[in-house]
Amino acid sequence: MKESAIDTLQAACSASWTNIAASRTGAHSERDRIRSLLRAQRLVPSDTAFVVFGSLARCDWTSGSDVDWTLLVDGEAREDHLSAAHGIRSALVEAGYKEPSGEGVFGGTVFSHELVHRIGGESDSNRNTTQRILLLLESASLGGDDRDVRERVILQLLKRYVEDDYGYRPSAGWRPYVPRFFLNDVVRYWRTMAVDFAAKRRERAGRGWAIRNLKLRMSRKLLFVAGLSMALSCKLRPSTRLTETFESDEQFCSAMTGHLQELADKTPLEILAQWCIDFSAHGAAVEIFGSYDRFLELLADESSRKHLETLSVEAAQADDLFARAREIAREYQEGLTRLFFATDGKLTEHTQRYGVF
Amino acid sequence: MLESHDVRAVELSALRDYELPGLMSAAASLNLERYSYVSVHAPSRFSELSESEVSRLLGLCRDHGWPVVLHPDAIQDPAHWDGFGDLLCIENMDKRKPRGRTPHELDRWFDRFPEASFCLDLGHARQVDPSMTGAHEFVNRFGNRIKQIHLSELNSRSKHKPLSTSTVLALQDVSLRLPQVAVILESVVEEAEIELELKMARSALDGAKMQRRSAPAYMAVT
Repeated sequence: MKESAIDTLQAACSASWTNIAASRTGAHSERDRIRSLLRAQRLVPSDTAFVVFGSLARCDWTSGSDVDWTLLVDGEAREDHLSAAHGIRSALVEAGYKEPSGEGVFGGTVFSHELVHRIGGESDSNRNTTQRILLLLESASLGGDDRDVRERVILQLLKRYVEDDYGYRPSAGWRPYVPRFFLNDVVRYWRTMAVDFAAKRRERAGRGWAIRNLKLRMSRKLLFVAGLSMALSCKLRPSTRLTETFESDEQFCSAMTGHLQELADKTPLEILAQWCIDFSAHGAAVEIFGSYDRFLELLADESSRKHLETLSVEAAQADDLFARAREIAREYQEGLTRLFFATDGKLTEHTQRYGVF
Repeated sequence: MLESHDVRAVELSALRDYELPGLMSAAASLNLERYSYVSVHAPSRFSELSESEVSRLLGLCRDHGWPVVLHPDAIQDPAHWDGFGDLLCIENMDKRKPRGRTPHELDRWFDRFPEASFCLDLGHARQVDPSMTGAHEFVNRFGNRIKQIHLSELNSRSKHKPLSTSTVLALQDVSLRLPQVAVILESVVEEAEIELELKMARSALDGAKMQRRSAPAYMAVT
């Protein structure tokens, strides 16, 4: 089996990220278990895929994780899709899995038409944006016409982003460029998550604030960083398919789409690890991955997790565990800042140009 | 592959016309004693062999009393099939085909072959009309001709898939109205999953389960 970028980076940094490794192993084991369960009961109909998100998709699964999932439908609408979703939900609950979080974003059906055709504008709801961006940055399919359905929906999405970059593609003359439409959607989602965090704190009178704060600063931020890296990689680290000579716009768009799709099949941590390898950013990697490893260690500890889930905003300021969590998040941010702004001149220049404005 | 399973019907298939000569010469020596029902699926189109050669080769089926399952869109000269009587078993088609997908489109074939029987493909019927109204209509119009049933799940690319719970539930309703005939499973599964597929098929054809459900299907996935 091909060595993962995380393992390669770990070796290059002479580091030991045991919690990242353990949570990856745990995620694969749970994925296999769920896959077998769905297959044994034949719960996923044709032209659909059972898609997971969150820690199971990111491969940073801990014992307290829930299973965030949707039944992605890419075919005719059939009235039995609802039955299928209900059946899946029942089977997962019976098997002992926690029901999805996310206020209705997960745990039901999602139609590819909505994801592909509603990008931006009035009809692109918060829910639709969330489901779309997570499909691109943090998803894996575990059952049904799985690879086929998830892959083809992702391809359609990426094709839309690339082909709709009207103002940028022609001027680049079929040379690799940073896909603006895609990057703007990723940035918008990241900022929306941050704003929604504040909204939820108010709506829930601070309940669960501490753990959501930590997750926002760590795993949610990771999604943004992975998406930013994907976009920048088209220009700064193009795959061989993007270095060919193109004879038509269609050919070029197809190459851009293919490049992004390869990355959409990797976990966010894998994307970030490869980025650190590509830029020989070992110092930043030690900070980023070391802190993320300690983040996972904290989440995996049931008493620590429960403590953060019930910690009030007022009590957090003087709380030792929260102080530790805040330090983890601070080091993580330091590492990311170092990677993008103090490692490579071109990376810094492109992050400033495309990531800020 | 089927020896260890409780199956009594088999359909020998030569979907590509170049496969047919080999199948027909092997058929004579096959040990089919355990099967109470045997049929043969004719090629889906005639390119390397002519239609007359195909119908001549399939003449062996008449000798054995084996129904010949034929796609109506493959028929170019109906006269080649006149001698098969009720052993000519016309199948309803999937979305890819230009003809024979609906009861209305099959009417002309049964007008042309008044003695012909019918292979009701439930997978095709559901793909063409997921509401299953078409499947009921097939039974309304040609129920007395049904010689065998094809059972599988088709995706939108017309690929045969294993039966899902959704398909099982959808078929239970129409299964109440089906005659007791041979059922040919067309699902593509690994050998290790044959028994599960058979279980799903029996459930799909257990119309009594549908009758026992007192709530809508989405409340009773079992």
